[in-house]
Amino acid sequence: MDRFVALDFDRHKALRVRTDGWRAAPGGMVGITPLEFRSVVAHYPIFLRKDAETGWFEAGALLGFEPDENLFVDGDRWDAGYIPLNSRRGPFALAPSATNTGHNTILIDPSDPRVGEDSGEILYLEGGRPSDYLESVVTVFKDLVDGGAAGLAYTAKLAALDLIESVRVDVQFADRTSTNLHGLYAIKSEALDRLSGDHLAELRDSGFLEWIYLQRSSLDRVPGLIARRDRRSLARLQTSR
Amino acid sequence: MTTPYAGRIVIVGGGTAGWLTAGIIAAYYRTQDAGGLSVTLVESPNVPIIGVGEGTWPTMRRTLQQMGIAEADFLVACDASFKQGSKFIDWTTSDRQSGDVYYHPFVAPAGFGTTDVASIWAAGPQALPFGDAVSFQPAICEAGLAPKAITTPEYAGVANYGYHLDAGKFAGFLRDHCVGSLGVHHIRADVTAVEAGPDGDIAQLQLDGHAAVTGDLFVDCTGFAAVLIGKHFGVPFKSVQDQLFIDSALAIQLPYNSPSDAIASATLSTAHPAGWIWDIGLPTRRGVGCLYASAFVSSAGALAELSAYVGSQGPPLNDGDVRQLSIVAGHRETFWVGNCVAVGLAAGFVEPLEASSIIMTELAAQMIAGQFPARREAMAIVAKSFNGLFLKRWRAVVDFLKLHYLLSRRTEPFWVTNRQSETVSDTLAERLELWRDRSAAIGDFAAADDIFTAASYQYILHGMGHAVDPPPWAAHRLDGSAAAALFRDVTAMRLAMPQRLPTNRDLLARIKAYGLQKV
Repeated sequence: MDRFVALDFDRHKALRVRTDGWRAAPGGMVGITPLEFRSVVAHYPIFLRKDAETGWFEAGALLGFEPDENLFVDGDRWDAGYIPLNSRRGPFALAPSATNTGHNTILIDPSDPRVGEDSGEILYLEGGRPSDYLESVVTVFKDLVDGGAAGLAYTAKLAALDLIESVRVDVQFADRTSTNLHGLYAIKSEALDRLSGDHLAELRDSGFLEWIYLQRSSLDRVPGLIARRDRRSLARLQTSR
Repeated sequence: MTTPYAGRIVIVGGGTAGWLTAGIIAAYYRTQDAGGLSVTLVESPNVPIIGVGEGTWPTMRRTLQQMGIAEADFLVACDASFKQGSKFIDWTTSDRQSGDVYYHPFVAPAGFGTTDVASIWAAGPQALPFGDAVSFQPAICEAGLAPKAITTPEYAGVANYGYHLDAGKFAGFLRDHCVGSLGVHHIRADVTAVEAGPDGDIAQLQLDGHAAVTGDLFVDCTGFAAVLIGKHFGVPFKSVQDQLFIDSALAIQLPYNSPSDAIASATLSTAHPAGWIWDIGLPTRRGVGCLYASAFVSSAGALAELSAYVGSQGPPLNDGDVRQLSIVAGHRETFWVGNCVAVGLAAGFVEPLEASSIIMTELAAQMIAGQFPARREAMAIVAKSFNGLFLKRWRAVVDFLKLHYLLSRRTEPFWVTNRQSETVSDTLAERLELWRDRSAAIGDFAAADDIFTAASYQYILHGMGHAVDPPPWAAHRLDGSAAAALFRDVTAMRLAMPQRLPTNRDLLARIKAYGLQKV
């Protein structure tokens, strides 16, 4: 985070940000909020992982099998009908405001490869009003903040009801290589089946039940992810011949 | 004709032993559900808790988990921290310049059970101290690191661990859980009379200001007072002071110099001319005490030892803060008489050199729970096996503690006398004879009787420089190559752990703020 500085009209009015530079977006697993589940479930497997600072569970969409692998980026194109909010935040980050308690401020990493002065979206209009692009970034962060609070409530309830289990993901690829993913968690189906009526009603009323089923069904996206990796390996092989 | 089932358990005494026994039995039988077995604990409102045990074994993790306690709740409520073993300072020669320090960690030596690494190490160049050669745990203790991370599930460890805890808080925490969640009945009253039936069994206890309480089994957790096993049944106490000379203690609680001071992850045990000093780090304070043999040093001399120890590391010592305790090392000759069984200090006590007090309570309560006789006729059978087993276990504890003294080369009278052969049990003397030619082996011990395993013996033997002189025909088995991979693995773990583990203090603060996950 050291590279990030608070976004400031005077300092950053000349900057432009390329929005097609997906290669710079993080790969592996990207944090998502339950408010995204409905959109995410069509494309990505959803797992839970633990936050390294708190040990609390957070949801994430799997984009690839290596920490930096993103199997959805094809050149400058993101090959899926929905892009997770955290992948759309570009070179920006959010931090609690130093001057305005209780509010957040947007930071930018000026050294990010997507940031320059020649091409891409402008950040500010004449006079300092934010551009449509910057407004869209603000909306992304607003959705992340709202969804993040919902996500904490959701995973805390899952943990309290003992609905989370550690899973081992062992993957075999067509080229006979394999990998296994550690530190992932999923919905414990048999615990869900044993849940009392009261607890089920509580989950339904809070909206969590839908998220649980969305999250569970998203695991059907794992074979598709493996297929993406196999296609990529095959393409690389054919190019090198 | 079959007699009726008899499932009323009455525990007398509300210290660590009483509540731990109540919790273990109540959790085992799900006393909170309807079903018949009842657990009642009678606690005097006037007798203070001694709270001697402040160190546990790793077994406590399972004990708490089976009671349905969340580990984070326990850690916070009992001001508890992680214990990964014991560190012994000045025990062998008292020459600290020569590095008279060794560890008895909770992680067993690498390859324990498959390769005789201890004998191989002893026959080799001994480039690293034994503890460091066979376990990564001494190094992480030295670095003040926790045995797990915030992402490790509750009760799971990256390294094996038990706890240091505030015994007074622990008893209260267990009481709240036993009464609130496990269905244990709690009576706060003094026992005024013990009434026996015609068969000699305890029929009921008369209580001060409360209706008499009847029961089928009475558990004596009244501590040194031994109200049932001692005063009522007159079962003699077998002193072991001919083997373990410590008979007094001066205890003190010390604040940390700074809130960011490291919390030691091992019990520190520093020898002095007539005993040793314990030092236990909790999140909010340290507990330090000077144990001594009054035949070899005066209480003023012991206070001077304690002051010197504290003075070098902490704030100045006020005499008023020091609590004096007497210790009578020993145990009952029998523990279970008729329908009464003694647990905790009423059963026995030795100096807290290897945290044997709480583990003996856990083992006793587990056996009472697991083998609880459903009918009175069966009780004598269980009592017989309980008495045989716990007599062996107490002797095993005494032998293991004695080993620490026997291997010392210190020259003060207390230490020299400790090595005289008439102060050593035959069993221990025979084992040491065996271990002149090889290290301690799993086969030397019976699993149920010897609560300390060959792993523990190896750490003490080789930590204290016990020499092994193997016969020539053992050479092919002691070839270092057999253990080279194990030693390499330990080194790799020792180097990797600091990146994986936070400090004890950091982790305890995180647990207080965020809790621990169950999975």
